[in-house]
Amino acid sequence: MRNRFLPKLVVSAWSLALITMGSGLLGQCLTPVVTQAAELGAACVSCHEKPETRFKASFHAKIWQGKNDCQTCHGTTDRHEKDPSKQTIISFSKDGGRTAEELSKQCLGCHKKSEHLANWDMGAHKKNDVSCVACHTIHTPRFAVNQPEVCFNCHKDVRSDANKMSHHPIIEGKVMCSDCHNTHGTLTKHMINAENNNQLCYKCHAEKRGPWLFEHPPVEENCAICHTPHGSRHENLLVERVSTLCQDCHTPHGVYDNRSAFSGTPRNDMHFAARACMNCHHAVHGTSNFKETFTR
Amino acid sequence: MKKKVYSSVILLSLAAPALVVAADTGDKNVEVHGTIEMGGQASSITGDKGRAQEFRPLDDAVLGNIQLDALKGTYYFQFDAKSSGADDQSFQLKGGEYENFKYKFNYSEMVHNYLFDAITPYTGIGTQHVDPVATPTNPATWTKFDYSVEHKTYGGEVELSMHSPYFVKFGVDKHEQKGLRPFGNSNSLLAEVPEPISNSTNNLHLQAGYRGEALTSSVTGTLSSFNNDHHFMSTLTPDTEDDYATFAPDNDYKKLAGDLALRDLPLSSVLSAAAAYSNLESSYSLSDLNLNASNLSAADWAAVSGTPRFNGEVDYTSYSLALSSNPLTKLDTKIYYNYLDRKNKSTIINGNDGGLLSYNKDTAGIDLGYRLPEKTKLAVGYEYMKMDRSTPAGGTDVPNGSTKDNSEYVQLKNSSLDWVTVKLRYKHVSSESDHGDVDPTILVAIPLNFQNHKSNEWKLGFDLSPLDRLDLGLDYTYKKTNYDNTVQSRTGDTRQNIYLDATWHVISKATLSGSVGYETVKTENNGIDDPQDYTQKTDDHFWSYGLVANVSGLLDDKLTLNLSWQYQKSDGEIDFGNDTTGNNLQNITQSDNYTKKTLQAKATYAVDPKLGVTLGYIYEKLEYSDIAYQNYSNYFLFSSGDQGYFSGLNANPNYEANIGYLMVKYGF
Repeated sequence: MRNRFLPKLVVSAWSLALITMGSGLLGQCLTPVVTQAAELGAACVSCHEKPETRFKASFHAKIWQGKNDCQTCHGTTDRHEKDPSKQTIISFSKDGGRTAEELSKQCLGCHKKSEHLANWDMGAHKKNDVSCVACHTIHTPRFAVNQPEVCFNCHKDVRSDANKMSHHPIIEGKVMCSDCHNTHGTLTKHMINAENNNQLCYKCHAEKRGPWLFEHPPVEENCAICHTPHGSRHENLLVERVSTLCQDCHTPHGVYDNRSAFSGTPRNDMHFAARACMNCHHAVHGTSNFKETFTR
Repeated sequence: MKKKVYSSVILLSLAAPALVVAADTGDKNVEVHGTIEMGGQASSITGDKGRAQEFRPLDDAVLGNIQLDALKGTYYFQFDAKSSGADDQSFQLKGGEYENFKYKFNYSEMVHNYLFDAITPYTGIGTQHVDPVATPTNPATWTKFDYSVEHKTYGGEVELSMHSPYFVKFGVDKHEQKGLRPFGNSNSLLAEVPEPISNSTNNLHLQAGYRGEALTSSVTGTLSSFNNDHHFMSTLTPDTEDDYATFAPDNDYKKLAGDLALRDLPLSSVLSAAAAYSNLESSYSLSDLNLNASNLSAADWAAVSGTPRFNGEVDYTSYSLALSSNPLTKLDTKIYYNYLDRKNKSTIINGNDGGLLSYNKDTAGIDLGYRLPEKTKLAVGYEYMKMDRSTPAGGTDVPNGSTKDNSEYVQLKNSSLDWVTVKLRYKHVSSESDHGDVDPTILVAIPLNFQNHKSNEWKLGFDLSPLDRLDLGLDYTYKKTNYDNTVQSRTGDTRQNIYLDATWHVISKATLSGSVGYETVKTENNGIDDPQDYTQKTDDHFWSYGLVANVSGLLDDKLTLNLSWQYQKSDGEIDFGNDTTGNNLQNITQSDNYTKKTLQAKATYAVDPKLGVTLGYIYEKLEYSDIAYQNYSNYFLFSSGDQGYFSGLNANPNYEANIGYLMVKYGF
């Protein structure tokens, strides 16, 4: 057993140092700014006390420092003051009567310059009328979207896959949807954060990059020929069980029926037992060996 | 374990006063708030403890979470520590000033457990040479070990924009993996052997760009280096034959990318463009892999001796262009073109020329969306894709050749009733490859991605709110694909998914939600195993349902209860037919069958506005069965005479876990 005490203590000390440094820097080095968020939205607070309170605690309010107010996002209030319905103001509620495009336009007024949103107009979310507030909650101290739950609300198939026996650690919070996808739009299919699937997968699975002396062409072409990214009822995120997957392209060593594997009568077959083809052909991603066998 | 607990206690004990001091700066312009949470978990797991803890350590542990937010004017600072003290702890710190600068640093750990207490007939596990035990046919004498890989990631990024439209980002990160993964050994027998994992990937990113009202553009450079501590492993098999395995080579990856978005063009158009070039290299010789006459058989050494150094090189070049417009008020359009070129320029050596795949891929398409009356939107689209593949071996055999895909879709969405949105989508794909027709006398399957096929896909979706407090959602997908002229391999498949969600806000402080899902995949294959001809049909089903109840505001608004139940059932079958030799092929009734049940209960009590206590319980049970693992034995002599030496991986992944936790949270 390795001694894991020291690394954890080092990390702990590092964290504490950063906390103290950060707080100290804030307290000592920065110039005070007088205008406070509490001054925002005085005209709105008489009716909207709770949203106002939440807004004052929000990141937006604190960063804006009084430069913007409720009207910046919700539009002019002249009509709303006379007719306090959601239709006389830009309401982000589900029953506010505004289209997704109208709602997103309010956010893009400030955020369209962001490099993260450069391809918003090209993405699937805009195309399918998903507004910014469908994912982001604005009147909160932090903006971070609660992944993957928010994504699962619409992507039910992905939620189903991510909960299957073999899955990327998405539900455990170790892989975020945004690690692989730019939900704000890309020029690629499925809004992935790379030019193609393989270059995306290689970001974490650098050991699969090769280049290998003997390559397996489907692996070079597209990881998704054999793997499904979110989860599978088959081991190793495979699109099928190993024996049938390999047979989609290769002649098997025999018929792998119920007579095979350990329990076969009158015969049993090591090609179907346990990890099947992978028992021997474990180097399916390629091999650096100088002899072509793929078996080692 | 004790040391882990001690380190957690030390961290949390030190963090608490540090945070309180940080919160009490005495400067009224500085606002500091956050939470610190301390507690512990205890568990009882029977069965496969590795599977139960695949990505989540469940050992008894002291745990802590910290969240700190500090603001002064436009400056902000955030710190998060999650699961401190556990094997999956993470720390993230970020801060900066809006439109001036940003920074972030992170450290995280993750475990990937495959199997605890696996056994192997080898000694020397974790090194680059393993030998069999004295009596390898007796599993009682085998070596015990854990299949598990520990991941660690360190990183940081700084962004400077100095209140200008220009910005620069600089980031570095390092990812380390250490542990043991399943591998194989198959010289004259079948023996599972653990592969020693010890590697790291170092990444560096530099991005410079411009963010303006009408133009956003940036250039990004990336350097990534993968270093493996183990490139080879030599073994003496249980029947004392020399064997040899090679692992992932070191590699260096370089990438230069640029992108541009032009807005405010005529017709409310936006033009986006991107280009990227990347280069991936590896290089190794026989001596780097310790391949020599002393550790290879005479025949193997004769086959490879004198081989020059291998230089692996793969380049990717890509261009993308897209233009979105609103030529009419109600009309959205997008036209796009993507080009991707992959060149495998690796050394041609020892007959590897048939696998060094190069390809280029052109994709062009158009999407049109038109808003009809009654809140109805019609969307149609067409895409053409052409992919040309080649290897140095050339010829017309796979994987050389080309594929052309034509796909069209039409989608109709209606929200004319305030309480319901309906979406219907149809997509057709036609794919033709040069290798769609294969000589039936050649018993070589055509890879699935080369086979001519046509698919039709229907999707239907409903979002309903029939009552103020009730939301319903339904998604249904039907997809059927027919593969033309298949002699061997897939002839067709049919996939159906249906998901139903319901959320009922019973009262303002009580919510009940539920979900039901059903998926089925049916495939049909022609199998040819000379002299037997047969058909093979797979029939896979997956059911799931979940129920969640959340109640808050109990006990004078101090108690919140959460209860959830999730059930999954996977059921697969494989049927055979048309055996021409009279063998009575027997259908498989257990193909990755499993059930998984998860119960979670949590109660949170707010002692006062700053102090809360959470008590939770999780129960989970997995039961798995599959034909490939029935009558499993660590040592097995097959009827063919082949010997098998198995570690126990996947043999019995069933487990039952009970986990309890108690956390105290203090807010400041």
